[in-house]
Amino acid sequence: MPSEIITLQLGQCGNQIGFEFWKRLCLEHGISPNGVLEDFATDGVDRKDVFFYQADDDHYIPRAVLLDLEPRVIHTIMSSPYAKLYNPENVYLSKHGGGAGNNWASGYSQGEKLQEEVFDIIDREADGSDSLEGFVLCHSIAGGTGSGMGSYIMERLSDRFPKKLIQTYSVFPNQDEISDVVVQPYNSLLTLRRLTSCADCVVVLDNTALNRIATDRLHIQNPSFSQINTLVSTIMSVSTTTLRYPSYMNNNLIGLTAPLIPTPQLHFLMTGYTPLTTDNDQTVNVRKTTVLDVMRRLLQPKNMMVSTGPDKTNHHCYISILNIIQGEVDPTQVHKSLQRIRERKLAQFIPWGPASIQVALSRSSPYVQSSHRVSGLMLANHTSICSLFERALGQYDKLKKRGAFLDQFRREDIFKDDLSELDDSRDVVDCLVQEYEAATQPNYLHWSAKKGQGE
Amino acid sequence: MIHDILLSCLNLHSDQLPIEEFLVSEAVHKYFHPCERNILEDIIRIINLLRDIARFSQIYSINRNISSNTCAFDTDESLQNGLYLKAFANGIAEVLDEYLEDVAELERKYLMHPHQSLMFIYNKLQEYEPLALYLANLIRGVCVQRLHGCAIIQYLQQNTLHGDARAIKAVKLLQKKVNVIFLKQLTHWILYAKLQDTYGEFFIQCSEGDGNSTLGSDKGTTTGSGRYAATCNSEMASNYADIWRYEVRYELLPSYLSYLWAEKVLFIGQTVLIFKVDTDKLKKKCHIWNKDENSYFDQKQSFWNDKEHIYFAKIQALLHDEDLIVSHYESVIDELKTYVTTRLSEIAVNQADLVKQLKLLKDFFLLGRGELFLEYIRQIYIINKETENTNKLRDFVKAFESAAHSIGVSEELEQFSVSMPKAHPENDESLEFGYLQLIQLQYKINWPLHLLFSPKVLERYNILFRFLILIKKMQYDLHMVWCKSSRKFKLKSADHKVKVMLLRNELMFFVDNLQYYIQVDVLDSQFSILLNTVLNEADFEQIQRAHSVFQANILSLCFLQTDEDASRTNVLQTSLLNCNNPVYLIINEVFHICNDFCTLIDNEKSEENVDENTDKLGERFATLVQQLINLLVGLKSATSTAPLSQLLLRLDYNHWFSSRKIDNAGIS
Repeated sequence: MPSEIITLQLGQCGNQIGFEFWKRLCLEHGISPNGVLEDFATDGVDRKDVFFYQADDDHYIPRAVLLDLEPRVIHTIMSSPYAKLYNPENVYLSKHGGGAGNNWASGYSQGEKLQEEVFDIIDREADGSDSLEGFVLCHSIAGGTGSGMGSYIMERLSDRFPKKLIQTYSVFPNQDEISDVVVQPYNSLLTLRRLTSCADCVVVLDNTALNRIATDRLHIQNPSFSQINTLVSTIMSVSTTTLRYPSYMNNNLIGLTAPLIPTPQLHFLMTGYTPLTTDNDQTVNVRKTTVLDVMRRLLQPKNMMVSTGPDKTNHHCYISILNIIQGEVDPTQVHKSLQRIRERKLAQFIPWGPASIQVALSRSSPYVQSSHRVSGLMLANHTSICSLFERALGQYDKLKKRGAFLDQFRREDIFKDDLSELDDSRDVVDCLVQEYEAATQPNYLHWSAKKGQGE
Repeated sequence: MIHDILLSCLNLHSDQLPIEEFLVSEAVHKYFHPCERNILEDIIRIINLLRDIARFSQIYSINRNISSNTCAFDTDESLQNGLYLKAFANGIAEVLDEYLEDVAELERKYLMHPHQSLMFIYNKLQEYEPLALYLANLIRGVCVQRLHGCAIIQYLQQNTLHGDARAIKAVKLLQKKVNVIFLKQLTHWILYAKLQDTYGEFFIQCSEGDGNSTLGSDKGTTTGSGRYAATCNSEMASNYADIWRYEVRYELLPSYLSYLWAEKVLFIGQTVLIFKVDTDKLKKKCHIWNKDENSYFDQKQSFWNDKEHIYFAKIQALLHDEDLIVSHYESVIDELKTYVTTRLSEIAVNQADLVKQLKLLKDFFLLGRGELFLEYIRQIYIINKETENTNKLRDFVKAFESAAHSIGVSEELEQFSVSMPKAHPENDESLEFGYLQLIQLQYKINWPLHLLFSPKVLERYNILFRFLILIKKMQYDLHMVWCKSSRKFKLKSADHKVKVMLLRNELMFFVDNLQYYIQVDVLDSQFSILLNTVLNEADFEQIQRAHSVFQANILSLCFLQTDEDASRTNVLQTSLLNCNNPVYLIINEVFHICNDFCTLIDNEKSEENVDENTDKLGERFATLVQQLINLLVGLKSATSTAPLSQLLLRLDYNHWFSSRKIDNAGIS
């Protein structure tokens, strides 16, 4: 099977969303929690082999590597019904089990120490696939393990596998609540630097927006982790449907990401999903879903899984959009919807290159019943995502000015001599924000050319 | 002497006419009154006329090879043998029977009243003169026009109007005689799909594989049925293709029957033939087939559901029509056709799983299984890099199999395979995009869907297939370029070429959106219409029509055809027509640019010239897109531009291309 993808789950958050993702994939492909194909799913045309491989006894094993520095989440996974799903050799827990203490630097240096063992696992997985296409990394950017160790592994991956794509599902911290991780701004910034320079494509999962959607759209007062993670797993699974089911286009990771990312710097993607419902929510079912309806709602900011804040100057625009539509779709409606959206000017596009809403009609799993006729996921490259980075910069600056909590960073090798790593990272992220701001302007390409010469 | 004359009247087949000699003898001069002589001459004239007719009927009613030129009607060659001619001759003999009876009656009267005069004979014979003249005319017509087969029916029908009651009666008889043969052949063709036609006379003929028209030569026509028998025993696969060798010979079709009618008859026969071929095949293999399939076979055998005799009677009833009633012919054939098509669609949908086959067709020919062809293109990409490989063509074919295996669609390999016809050396220049332009997808058709997927239909699918796979390949190449630049960025290499990036984005955007347009706006939309028809219609003919509409539509919407009329023309012409569609020409040009661009980027050595060359390509691309937009502005008629405007909506969604046009216009 070509175009295989290896999933790496790092840290508490990464393993949690990864776990939900695999649960969802098993459900969609008719694979039981212990990896055996259900009787009803034996003649499916789906492409399980992209994310799974088959053991000698034919049971399915995820191409997943689970990494963590503390045992709690992985123990939960290994005591769940899905314990037998994973290849136990691919589950790696650091021996001392002390975690990274929410410290990026600690995660980074532990990653360095453990790299041999970790890359043994990754190399073995990579060798086991016919033509590996890339890696998918699940992590959060705020903690210690996912951010620090994730950053280290990302750097090594792009060295060791320069021809493979690296896509990440990166969870951004919730801005609406006061975090117990005080060094979160440092962690975020340092991780953002790696996401900018080492990853090919970053799907941003903003906890702020996810919580807001859960409360506003799903009417859940205090959304739990698992409810948020259900949202995340939906996004992750739908964004991979064109890889997992026969379809005419977007059949591999390149095909999915290349049209979305016209310039290598601008590779941070937003997502949106509609219609959103929960199991205990019947009220939403009164509405009728059509292609136009779904496509229109995907363009509304309130359905975006990234909270960008109000765009006061109204100058931000879409660089590219891919809508993955599932369900009973009348194909002739797609053209009409595109036409309508253009007439109403519902979406602003970049002024320096061609852009449009690309609509992929995708199959959905026959084993998962949906109460909606049509549902859709949007993967969008939008310049307003830079407000997220601006926010991270602001918080970093506040903390850095006070020189707070820097001691625990100095303890690690990378910061032993000086704190230039932090300043460098700030520069990189600042550049990124400027790049996005420039991308809203018609002369972006000139700007970019000049910048290239300047360097 | 009277008795002599009577004998001459009776014996029309004698070698000589003694009376004629008698006429010139001295006795006549001496004893005959000039009036009597004239009467005698007249009698002899009539008798001669009848003798000629009788000789004609004698010659052709017996089926033998006439080598000696004995034809009575000044033709140099003998007429071609044929059942119709024979029936015609027999009919004439029968008409003459009445005359012979009358002459015998005359003889009896003379025996009773020996003093009757010569006038008495003349009177009787004169009654037959118009008939004789009429028949002689008919015969002359047949001989001069060298009429053959069904044309004789047509000829008789043209000559049915005659004032003389006896002549009308005669021609009715003749028609009936000939019609017996016609209906017999028709019945055989319709019910058993057999051409009982050793002389090539029926209006449906089995043409030679090489397309040589063999009408008029004994060799070709006799092999018509002989060949069928031969192929029955040969490989079965070829038999399915055989049905397309049968075709209507319009020159043989009686003009009172419409072309439409003839095509219906052809269709019924082809359908039955499909069933027959299959049962033949099953009979042979019966012993190795298990029980389940035997019952399946039983089902199929009862294609007519034991109703053959009903339809047989209906066809035969046509014979009993007093006059020719065309509507009767039509109604019988219509009824039969309705039965056949309904039965066929039952079988096609239920047993052959038509819906599944159509979906497979879409998955393969129309690249519904994008991942399979992506993998195929990936493997070809690798093969193409091996410059030393001399067996590329073979490897291409193998690559398809291995791609299918790795995607997990090995099951479908039984039905689909790829073939690469050997390239002719002189054609090499025309292959701008490599061997992919030669690729052919072979499809093993499920019985009995051969009626739906004729070789021509499949060839048209192949045209689409080659077009689509070329787009896919361009997309793949551009993705490779994307990967390369993404890799460079990660390695922080300094050369950041904005122009290259812009052109790459534009080309990728063009190719992507072209694909979205074709797959969603054209293929998915049209396919859902087709599928709805198939699921709702009980009639095979309507399915067939829906399918050809589907194919014509997708071809024209993909700009592979200029208009709907072209759907009727044959394959060779459609491939020529490609060149005429302006949109196709532009798209093709864009492919060239993609190709040049990818090779430019791929070629590490030409590093310095990249910018300059990219500029050139970028200009070319911009001009082409302008042309595309201008095309839409230029063409005002709404119907022909609808697909183009759909494509442009996608391409120019953020007015990037059209606004650049204004810029350029402002500068110039």
